[in-house]
Amino acid sequence: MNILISNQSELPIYAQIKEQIKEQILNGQIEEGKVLPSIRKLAKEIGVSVITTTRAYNDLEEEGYITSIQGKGSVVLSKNNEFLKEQYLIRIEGGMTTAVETAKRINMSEEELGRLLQRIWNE
Amino acid sequence: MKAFKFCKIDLLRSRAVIALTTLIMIVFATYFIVDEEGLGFVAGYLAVITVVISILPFNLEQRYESGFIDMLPGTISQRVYGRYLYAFLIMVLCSLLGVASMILFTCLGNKVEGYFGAIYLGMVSIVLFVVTIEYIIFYAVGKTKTQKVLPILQIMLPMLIFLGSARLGEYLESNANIDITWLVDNKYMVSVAAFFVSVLIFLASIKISTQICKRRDYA
Amino acid sequence: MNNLLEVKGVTKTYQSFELQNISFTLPRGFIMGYVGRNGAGKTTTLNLITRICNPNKGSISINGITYEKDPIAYKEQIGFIGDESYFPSDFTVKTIRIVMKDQYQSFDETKFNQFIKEWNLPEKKKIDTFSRGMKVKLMFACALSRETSLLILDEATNGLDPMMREEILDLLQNYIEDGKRSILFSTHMLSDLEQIADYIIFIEDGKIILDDSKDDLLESYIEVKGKKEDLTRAIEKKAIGLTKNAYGFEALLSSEDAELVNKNFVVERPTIDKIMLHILKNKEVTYYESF
Repeated sequence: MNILISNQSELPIYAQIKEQIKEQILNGQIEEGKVLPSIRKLAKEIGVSVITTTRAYNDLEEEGYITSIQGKGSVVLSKNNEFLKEQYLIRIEGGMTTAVETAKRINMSEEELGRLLQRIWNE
Repeated sequence: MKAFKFCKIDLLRSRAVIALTTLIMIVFATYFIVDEEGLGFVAGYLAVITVVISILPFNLEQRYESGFIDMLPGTISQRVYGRYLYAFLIMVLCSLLGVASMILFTCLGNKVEGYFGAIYLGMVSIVLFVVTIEYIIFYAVGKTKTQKVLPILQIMLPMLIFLGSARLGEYLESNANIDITWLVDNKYMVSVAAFFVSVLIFLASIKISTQICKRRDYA
Repeated sequence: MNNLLEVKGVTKTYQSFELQNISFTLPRGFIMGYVGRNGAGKTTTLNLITRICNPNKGSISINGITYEKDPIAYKEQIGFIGDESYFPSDFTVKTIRIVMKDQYQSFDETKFNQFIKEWNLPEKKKIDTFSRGMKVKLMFACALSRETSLLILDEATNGLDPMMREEILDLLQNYIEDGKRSILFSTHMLSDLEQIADYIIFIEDGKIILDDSKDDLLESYIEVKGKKEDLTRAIEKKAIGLTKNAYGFEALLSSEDAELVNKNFVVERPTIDKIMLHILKNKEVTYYESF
């Protein structure tokens, strides 16, 4: 897990932590079932206040990325849960929308784009 | 005993000065005794350094030390008792040095005059009294202002006592009602009585100082 | 009991200054910054908590223990770091060790020696001759080598180099990591410790004027800068500590008033120091206007 805090960022620190963990869960860098460092440990490691990391974890929990298990800590939820699936779907949709829009701009046909998709899929 | 732990801090603070003055004391005493100048000088020197060393902790402590000294786990009474214990130890040490010089003096074949014991005990009582008064004054003035009054006190108090005893002598001489010969005749009884009164005042002042400190900041 | 430190209605009156009715709580496992300008009453408050001075009114308890109830247990719980060395100037590490061992039941000599070795503090040199950094380290060695539950720092990071400051941040975060102990530090320049503080108290003129979690405080304000001609009446009315110069203006706005801001302005997230500066400026302006 990597977390980089920027003091120049528009986002408050808790949001930076939240977004970065979210990103790493979604792109698979943090695997499901993995136990995240404790709130206090994380605060110490990245040099921020405990309240800040608590808030980041609470938000992640509320949004369904992690859950806190008694005696174990905060655990990354499985990719099979409804919520995460939806998040992945949104990502896929986003990527595809960009692809389609770009294709339309150069007058590429739906078939051509489909073939392209198939080629990439099989690579 | 917690008070001894606070006493130890005072001893740690002043140990260099104690070692130095004891060394000077031994050199001087030996010189005076060998030179047959008599014990008077030795006793006088001892009396002065006893007072100086006894008040040394007040002299050396600074207000900024509060963060360390005042944070140590102990009650106000334990701190005050510790300081008085220090004064007591210094006085015992100095008295023993006095007795040691007396023994040395006789061992060298000199004769100690019969009245010297009474004079010596009288001097111990005066020193005890002076130290007691200075302790109460230092506690009353407080740590924050002690450094300012210290030089004045060091000069003024011995002077007052010197002038006071001279006045007392004059009074005794001019006042026929008091029989000086009686005092001279009963010199042992008088000096022992003076000693006990000084000890009582010393003990009473511990309570007074504790009460003063309980109401004080930076105690 | 979740609060480690409870300060209730504490008042201390001096000839020219009064600390008025100070009340706050510090939960277990957190770091609180006690912020204000010089002479605002920071050290007075800390001296009352450490019980170097006696309050006129009010009560203070640490882990539920008051000084009145048990002076020794009360003092044993506190680790204190001052703004300057508080050791008797001709003491050495050796003498300090003797005193610590004598006085504190929970003093851990091995731990103390580890700190001394790690920080290269000379054993027999008078503390007087130590550098500022070394003196601070020795204070930390003393405070951290025994069992305490509240660490109090009075302007302890003043005049330290960045390396040393980083080291101290680490020490402080280690101290609270197990969630059982808390830290209260005072400073007139928060930037030193802002990143690790959980709670902030502003004190001005002997009174607490703000008491909040740092994150909430940072979110309740925005800092706006703009050209003079863009300064509307509405903004002027809501601005906290407005400063105008020949080339523009700068002010703090409550986050609720964010809609007053248009794209002509530069909007920034203020630091706690900036928030404090604007609030103090605002106070002075209203003070003068009342005449």
